Amino acid sequence: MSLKPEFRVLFHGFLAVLWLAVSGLPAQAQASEHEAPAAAPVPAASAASAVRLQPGSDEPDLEELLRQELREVPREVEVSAASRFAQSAAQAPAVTYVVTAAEIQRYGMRSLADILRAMPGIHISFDGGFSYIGARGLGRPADFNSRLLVLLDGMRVNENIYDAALIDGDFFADVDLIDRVEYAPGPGSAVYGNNAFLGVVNVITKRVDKLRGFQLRSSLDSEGQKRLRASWGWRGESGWEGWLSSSQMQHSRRSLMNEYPPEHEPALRALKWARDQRVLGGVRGDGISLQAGFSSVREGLPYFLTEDTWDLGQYNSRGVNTFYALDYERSLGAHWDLSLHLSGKRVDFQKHSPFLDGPDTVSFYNERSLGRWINGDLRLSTQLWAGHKLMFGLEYQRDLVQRVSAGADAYGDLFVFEGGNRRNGLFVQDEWRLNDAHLLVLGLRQDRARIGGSSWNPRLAWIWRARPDASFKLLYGSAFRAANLFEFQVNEPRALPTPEPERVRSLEAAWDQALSPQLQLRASAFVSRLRNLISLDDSPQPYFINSPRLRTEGLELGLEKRWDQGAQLRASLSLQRTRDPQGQGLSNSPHALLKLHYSRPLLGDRLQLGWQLQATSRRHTDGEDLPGYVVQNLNLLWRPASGHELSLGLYNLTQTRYFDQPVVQGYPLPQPRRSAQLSWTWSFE
Amino acid sequence: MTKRLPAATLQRRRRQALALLALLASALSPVRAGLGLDDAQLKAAFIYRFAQFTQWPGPPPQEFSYCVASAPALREAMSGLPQKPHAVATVKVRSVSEPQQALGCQVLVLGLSERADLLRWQQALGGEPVLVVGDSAEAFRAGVSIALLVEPNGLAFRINHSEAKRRGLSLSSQMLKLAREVK
Repeated sequence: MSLKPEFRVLFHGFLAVLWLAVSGLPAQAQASEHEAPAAAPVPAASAASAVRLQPGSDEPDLEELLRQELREVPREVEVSAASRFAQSAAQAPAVTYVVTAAEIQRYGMRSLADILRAMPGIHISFDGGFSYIGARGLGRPADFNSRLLVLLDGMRVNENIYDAALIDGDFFADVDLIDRVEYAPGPGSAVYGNNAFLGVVNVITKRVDKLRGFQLRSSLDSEGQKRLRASWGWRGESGWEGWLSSSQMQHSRRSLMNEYPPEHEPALRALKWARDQRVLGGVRGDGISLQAGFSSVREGLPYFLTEDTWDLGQYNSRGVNTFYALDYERSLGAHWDLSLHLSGKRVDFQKHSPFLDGPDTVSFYNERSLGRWINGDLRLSTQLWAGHKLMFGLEYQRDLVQRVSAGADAYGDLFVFEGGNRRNGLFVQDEWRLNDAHLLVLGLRQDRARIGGSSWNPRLAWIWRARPDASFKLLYGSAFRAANLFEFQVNEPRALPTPEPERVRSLEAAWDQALSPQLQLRASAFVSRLRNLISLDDSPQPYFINSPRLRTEGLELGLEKRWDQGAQLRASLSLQRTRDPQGQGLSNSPHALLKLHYSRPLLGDRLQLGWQLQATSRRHTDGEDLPGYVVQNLNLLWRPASGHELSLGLYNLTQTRYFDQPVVQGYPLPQPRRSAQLSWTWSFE
Repeated sequence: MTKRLPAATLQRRRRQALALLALLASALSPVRAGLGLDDAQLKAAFIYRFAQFTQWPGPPPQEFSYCVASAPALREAMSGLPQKPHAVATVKVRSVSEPQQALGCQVLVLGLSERADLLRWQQALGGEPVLVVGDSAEAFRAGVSIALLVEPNGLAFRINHSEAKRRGLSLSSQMLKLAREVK
């Protein structure tokens, strides 16, 4: 891979971080590793003084222990995104990145989009209302995150019109309710089927151990956005638990993304507002879990009624999403585990755009997409045969309603398009332990759909625990994505063929190495071949076509360092290059992403500082290139007293001017300037 | 409506970023936070607490045994535990290599992750009042009473209350309240 100047800068930056991390290694940490255990069980002096647990003295209670940070970089973190069941990350058949609730608080992350921004290899483009995810260099126009499968506690949340994954204010779980987010990059169709094209994101919500009693949180930011959340959680002696959370957001007179003459700004801002509401709750116990959620996002925007005057109208939109889900898990005898899931979901998105219907009459052009669907899946795992962990699975999705319509006031519906689809999947995965050092994971899934045809997707992973402090993974997998209803309805009325499902095959080699218990490095190299990518053509009235083949090569480097004093550093550098057969690159495909996260306690555990740096290299667009940029955020988290928490976040600290262009044939949109957010959380039982 | 992009002047910003990073990583005076336990000691401290929050049937034993299988680092850390947690004469931390050796233990810590091994150890105990603690999701699925779970930022635990009751153990409500999951 030839390194361009910007690569060099980022690469040198990464090397500087590496040097910092290694040079800051305390001598004792390097010396005390892997020494033979002393014969007499006497712990080291410093440890002994800390663990001199005399009942009734200053010994740590369970709550204190649960708050303890790990001083070492754990190698056995529990993840479930790769295989659909909880397992150690070291054995998972995919590299999995995790962001936890502690980090969400520490870095002041405000939405799922913010959390995903912290993940290696992900870049997000924002158009003021919707966050478009690009992963490993692929972020195509008109893709509403359909190439990333997003799960909420293991349940698919991509909707059934655009296959969209909503990651802003319309995601069901407020960030305060998120326990951790896992991201497994790479094709995941071997266990997940459709949409797990670039990767799988699993958002795991908090349980009642963290949502006990009442919690109130209110936030205010310098842009005038107000947030309020209230939650309640209860757990009985039997282990049954229930929780309920409700969040509100109000944002009036929002700042404009573009510059306008100052005399017109107040009128424009008066028409620009956003409001959202979210409710999430559930009960759990005896292996049964019932959850339901609701989100509603309303937005108003100023709208020019004519080309050449300042006559303004009000554009408004409302998106309402609901779901209910039932999960059941139990063991069948000693060797079999059963897991059942059933969920129903609904999405209703409406847009109303004003237009002049006569000299003084303002009418609205109304667009609506309405979807209702059910998902069911059944998984059966067994370890009846020594060394094998077998999982069989069935999955089903039925679209009860898929309706896209457009019309105008007084004219009724001018266009209605209805669809109906059924998808089912059948999969098997075998985790085969060859010996203590080698694990093979073999998987295969067949998906069939009434519309969209059938697809076979294999998975092959070899996991080699080369040494106690190092492991190697070789991963091969494929994935597909069938045209969604939106893509179908763009082509169908014009008698154009529906695009074939797009496919990706990927080979990845990943190595992770602990240089010391407190410093871990990882590197992964991948090659992906994409076929039939569904994209818009470049005609004036674009429609969807299958693109020629693409090839992506990439490298992801990461390091994680922890210090005894509680400071932590995480850094990742992602390099990728995507080319078509003519050697042409893609638009919105940055070659390099650098992400740094550094946090440290300032006054014991009372005050935490969190600093984030996110750098993105130059991106091509269909017009001018978008320059690379570096954005930094700083957050202070203060716990003045038990049950109280204050957080001050500064976003885009250095006032970086940067642009995104998520829409094809659009223009670069300036991104948010510096802003601050103050939050206060109060918990009581 | 078009907008001319400003010339990219990022060199300075990048330098700033690196300078800030260097400043943060080196210049701030160290502040010790937390209890200063290493990870095995933290696990050991949890297990010690679990034992404190558990009541065994019958009179207190003369000798309280923590038994550890397949977790040498944890066994090492547990040897540093306080000597009188349960008002008994002596506390012992023993390594055990065969399920039969675990019959006299009050707490059995299993550092295993294979279902078959986990089942073999637990079945050998029959209905004995032994608090079986595991440290993986697989251990919890295989029916241990308490399973530690490792998260990037700390430890948490799950409780299989019905299994603990089957063994005649009584777990305090404080522990049930703080568990990630109770089944």
